[in-house]
Amino acid sequence: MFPKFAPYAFLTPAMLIIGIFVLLPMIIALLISFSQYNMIEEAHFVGFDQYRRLIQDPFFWNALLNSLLYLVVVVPILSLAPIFLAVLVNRKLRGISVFRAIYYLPVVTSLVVTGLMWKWVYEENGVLNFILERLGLLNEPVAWLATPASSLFAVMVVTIWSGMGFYMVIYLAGLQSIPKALYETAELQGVSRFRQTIFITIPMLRPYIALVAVISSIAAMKVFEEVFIMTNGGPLSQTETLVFFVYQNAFIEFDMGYASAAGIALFAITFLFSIFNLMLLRDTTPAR
Amino acid sequence: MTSISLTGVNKVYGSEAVVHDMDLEIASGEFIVFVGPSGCGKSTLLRLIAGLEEVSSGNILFDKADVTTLPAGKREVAMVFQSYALYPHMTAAQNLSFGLRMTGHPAEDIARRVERAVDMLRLEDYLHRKPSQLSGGQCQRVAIGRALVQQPKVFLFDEPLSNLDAELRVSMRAEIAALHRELDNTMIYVTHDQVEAMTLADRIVVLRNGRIEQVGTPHEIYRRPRNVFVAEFMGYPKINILQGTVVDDGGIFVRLDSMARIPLGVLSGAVEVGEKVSVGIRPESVSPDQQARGARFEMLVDFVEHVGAGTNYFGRVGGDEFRIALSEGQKHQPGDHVRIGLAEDQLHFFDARGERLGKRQTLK
Repeated sequence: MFPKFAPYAFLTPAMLIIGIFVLLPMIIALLISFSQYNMIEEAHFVGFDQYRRLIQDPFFWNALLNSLLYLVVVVPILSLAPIFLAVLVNRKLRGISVFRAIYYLPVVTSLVVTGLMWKWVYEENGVLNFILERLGLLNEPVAWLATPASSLFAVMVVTIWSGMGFYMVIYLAGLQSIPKALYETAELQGVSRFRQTIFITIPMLRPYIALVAVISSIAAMKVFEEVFIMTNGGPLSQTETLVFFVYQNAFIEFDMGYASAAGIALFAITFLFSIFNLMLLRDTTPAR
Repeated sequence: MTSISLTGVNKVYGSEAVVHDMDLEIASGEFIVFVGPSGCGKSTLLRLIAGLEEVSSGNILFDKADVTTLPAGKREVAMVFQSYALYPHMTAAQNLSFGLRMTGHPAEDIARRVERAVDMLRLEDYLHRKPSQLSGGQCQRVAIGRALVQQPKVFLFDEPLSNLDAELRVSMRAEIAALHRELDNTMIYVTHDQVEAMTLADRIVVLRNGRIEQVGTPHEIYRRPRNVFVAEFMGYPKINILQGTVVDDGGIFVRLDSMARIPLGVLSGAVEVGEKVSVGIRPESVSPDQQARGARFEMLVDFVEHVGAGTNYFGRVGGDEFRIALSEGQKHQPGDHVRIGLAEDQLHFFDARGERLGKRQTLK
């Protein structure tokens, strides 16, 4: 029916777009990472110098550490908490779709808006301090974003808050693929709802958890907007993440070679984490 | 051993009633089969007894104790589903013990019960496999085993054999029957397969549109169907239902729309001359012409079905479809005219509403 080249012809437009806007920049970034380039003068090859600089740069290590901390705290929460949220909104209740929509709202809200909103919440005269003082948990207001000990965690809360709804929807799809008879059997055996969730729902959601873990790991490694809007990396670089580090070096310092090297490092770390994640959660039961 | 009694049970979904005012007594240790076409409410009824659905009104009693509002987990019933409903992430052994482990049974007790189930159902070879590594038949045995270890008061089966191939279905059927003989528990079994119903049941409950059409032993259901629906639902090939009118023709006869008259004999008192009735003729209640005594007629054969022990002929008598089952090898071809006679003592008569014309009320 079709000539042999037809499939390739159909693929060409998509491949062109991906090639020009994704693959090509990646290759160029890799090349730039081996050079000194400030966007004004001609780039010149410097070998592994930029990578050597990275290893010796305490700010890079700080950013890497912050990103890893982000990963360690945010990914488990974003992989597990939405399961319970999904179980909650998976009931057949009147008006349940309103709740689903409300939980999903943060996902469709621009992170800039979310960031600004939370910035107000965290202000010294903001809502959070007001509530905590009223409850008697605080004697005097805390500048959550300006205090080194709390700033990174305050930003994490925003990432979790805005990502929760998205992962909830993924789990909701997963929940609906679990046959009802499994729960009915457990119910007849007198197994409690909570135990059904732990021993049936979560194991059955394993492939979905793997997916969410990978997506949220990648997202955690790429955190930027929240930081940019709320803290700009401060205080004392406490909230500087890897992507923020790349941004600073690229578009503030115009040190493109160095920023590219950091970008490549970020890619390598993310890549390794994804593989690790998938191996950890690989489903051992073959598909039916 | 548990008796079950339903009184005035209704189930309504929205504005649609699925089970109507159901009264039913199930004796302790009885094997009851709910049978009927899809949408007749048989599965809903089972789920009401299990407690997986709430009744809209009415009462369900186990051993005279009201369990209507008792949650499913407290009713001590176990259910086997058509889809097996095994936990895919657990091995067969884990599937067997899951419910007991989750409800804090002592380990020795669990081990003992599992061992017994494994022995009874011969599961030892695949205890350590997951459901995805088991065949459909093996899955269903594990599912039955899982019900067994719960030591329930009542076993519920929801079309358990419908996903299995024909051969397996027959052997599993025998196994379930054997299980009932051994355990002597009350069992309720839902199926749309009349052969399963006939072979397994102590009593059959025939359902239609959420109502009971007839309750009786397989023999009663087949030999004395209460109405045309039950008569047509049970038996293969399907019973022939022919329309006719009662005539006084030097004796009371039914003159069939399509063929000769049939003497009404002892039934004559129940009907009036001129009344419309239908006559049910089981395909095996006919005999080749030379042996026949009563009414005889001619059937045009359309197609033939060999069933080993006999031959089924499908064709027409007058304008009506007609089916006969003869216990002999094939003697006729499509297009042939076969002369057959009726075994008049095996006929079923129904009134215009399809209700059986009983003998007792009609004897003069």
